[in-house]
Amino acid sequence: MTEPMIEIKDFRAGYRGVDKIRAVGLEIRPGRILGILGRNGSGKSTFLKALVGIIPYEGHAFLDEKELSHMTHKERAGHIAYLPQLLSSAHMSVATLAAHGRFSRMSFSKVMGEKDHEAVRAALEKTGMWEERHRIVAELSGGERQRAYLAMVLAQDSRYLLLDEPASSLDITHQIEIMELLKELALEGRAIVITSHDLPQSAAYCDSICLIDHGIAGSAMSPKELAGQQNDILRKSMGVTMVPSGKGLYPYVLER
Amino acid sequence: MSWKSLTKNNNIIILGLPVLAAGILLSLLSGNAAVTSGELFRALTGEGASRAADVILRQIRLPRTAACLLCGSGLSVAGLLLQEALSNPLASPGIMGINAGAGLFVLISGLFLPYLYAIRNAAAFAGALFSALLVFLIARKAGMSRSVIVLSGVAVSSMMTAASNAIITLRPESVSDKIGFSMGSLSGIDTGKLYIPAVLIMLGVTAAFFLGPGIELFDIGDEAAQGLGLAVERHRKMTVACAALLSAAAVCLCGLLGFVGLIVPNILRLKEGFSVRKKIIGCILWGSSLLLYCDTLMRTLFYPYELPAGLLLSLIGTPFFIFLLMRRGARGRRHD
Repeated sequence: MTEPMIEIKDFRAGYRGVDKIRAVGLEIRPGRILGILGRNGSGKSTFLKALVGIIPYEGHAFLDEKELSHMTHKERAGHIAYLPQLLSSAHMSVATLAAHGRFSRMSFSKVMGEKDHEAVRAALEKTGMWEERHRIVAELSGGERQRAYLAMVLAQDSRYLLLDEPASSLDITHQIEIMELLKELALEGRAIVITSHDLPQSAAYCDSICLIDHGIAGSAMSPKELAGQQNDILRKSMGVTMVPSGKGLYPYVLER
Repeated sequence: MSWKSLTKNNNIIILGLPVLAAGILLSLLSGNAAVTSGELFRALTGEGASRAADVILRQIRLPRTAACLLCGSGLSVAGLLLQEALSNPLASPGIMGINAGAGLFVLISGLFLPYLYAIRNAAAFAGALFSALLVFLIARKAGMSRSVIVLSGVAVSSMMTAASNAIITLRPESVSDKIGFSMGSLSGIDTGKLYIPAVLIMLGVTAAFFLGPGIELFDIGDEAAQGLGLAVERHRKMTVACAALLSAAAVCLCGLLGFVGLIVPNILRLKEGFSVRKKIIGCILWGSSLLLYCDTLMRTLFYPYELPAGLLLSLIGTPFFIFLLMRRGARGRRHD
C-alpha cells in the first residue's frame, strides 16, 4: 500500500445547494501540519465540517483510498478526530470529557477497558491537564478548556487531527503552547490540519499552507514559497504579503 | 469493579435500595381492605394465611405494587432521556404533552376498538410520538431554546387534554375512572393489564441503558460529538422515541401521571458527576419509590376514601417545578 493520507479531489461542500468551499486537489499527510488560511467566512470551517460528515460533500475525499462519505461515523472517527471552533461549557469533569474521546474505540457495551484508561491518562498528561482532571469543564479558563478538549481528541487516538481555529481565542502564551504541542504531535506521526487567520504564526508552525479565497482552496504551499515567488497569491487572498523577519518569535512578518 | 469503588460517591443511588424495599413492603401490606397487615404478611411468606388475605395479595396488591414499580421507573427514565436529549432540565413526559398525547390516543382506540386491550399500547405509543413530533416541529420553527420547548409542550399538552376531555364528556363509558385517568392513578390494576406495558417498559429501560454513553456526548455539543463518532441526530431521535415508548406504556397503566419524570431525574442531577447509566439506575430506584409512597399514602390517609396518586404528585411537583425555574435563573441562562 502507498503512504497513508487523505486525498481530496474535486471537492465541493456547502449549505442548501450553495457551495461554500471548493478544492481541486489537496493532500493531508501524517507527520505534517497543514494550515488552512483565509479570511473570516472564506469557508475554512465548512471545509473541516464536510470532512467529518457534519455537512455532506460532493466529489472525493479518500482516506487510504476509501471514500470518507461511505464510512460510518464510528469508522471515520477511528481515523479522524475533529475539534470544532466553539467548545461547549460542559458540566462534567475534565477526566470525563477526555474519556469521551474513547467513544469510537469502545465496543457496543461502552465500558472502559485498561487500554482506554491508559489512553485517557496519556492524553491528559500530554496536554498538561492531568492535575486538573477533577475540575468541571464549565469552570475552566479559555486556555484550559481548549487543552481539555484537546485531551479529548487526543484520547481518540486517531491519525488525523482536524482542529478548527485551535488557538485563535487564546492569549499569546497559550497560543504558542498549543502550537508547540501540535508540532510535537506531528513529529509523533499524526497528521494535523488547523484553520487559522494568523499568517505569521501559521508560517512558523505549519509545514504547508492552503489559502482559501472566497471559497476556493488553492494548492498547498510551503511558507517559504508563499513568502517568495507566490506572494501575489497571498496578497490577493489575504491582502498582505510576508517577508522574512530575520529575528523575533516568528520567522516572517507581514507587509502591506 | 470492587465494592468500594462501586459505593464511592454513589450514596444517593445506594440509599434508594432500602427505601425501595421498604416502599414495596409498605405498599403490599397496607390498604383499606378489612384484612390486617399481619395476615397479609403471613400470606406473603406463605405460612397459612386466610384465603381472603391470599386473594387480596395476589390479585390486588401485587399487581398494584408492580404497576407502581413499572410506571415509576418508566416515567422517570423517560423524563431523564428527554432532559438529556434536549439539554433541558424542565423537559418531562408530562410537561411536553407526551403523556397527554398517549392518553388521547388510548381513548380514541377505546372508542373504536373497545375490546382490544392490546391495541391500546400501540395507540399510546403512536400518540406519544405524535406529541413529541408536534413539540419538535413547533420548537424548530420558534427556536430550540429551553423555554420554547416547554411552552410548545404546554400548548400541545392542553390541546391533547382538551380533546381527551371532549371524548370523556361525550362518551363517559370510554374511561372507567375519569379523575383517575386525568390525574394519574393506580387503582383498578389487574394482572392481565400488566403484561404488555411491563414488557415495553423493560425493553425501554434496557434500550435507554444502551443509549446512555451516546447521550452523554450531547453535553459537549453536536459537532464535537459527531467528531467522536456519534450519529448525533439519529441518536437524539432514538432517545426521544425511547422516552415516548416508556411514557406510553406507563400511561396505559396509570393514566396521565405527571411530575414523576420531572422530579426524580432532577434530584439525581443535584449532584454532578453521575453517568447517564448511573442516573438510569437511580431513576428506577427512586422513581419506583416515589410512586409507591405516594400511592400508598393516598389510599391509606383518607380511608375509606382513596385519592389518585397523581394528586399528591402534582402537589409536590408544582413547587418543585418553580424551584427548578428559580435555580435555573440563578445559574445563568445557559441555553436561552
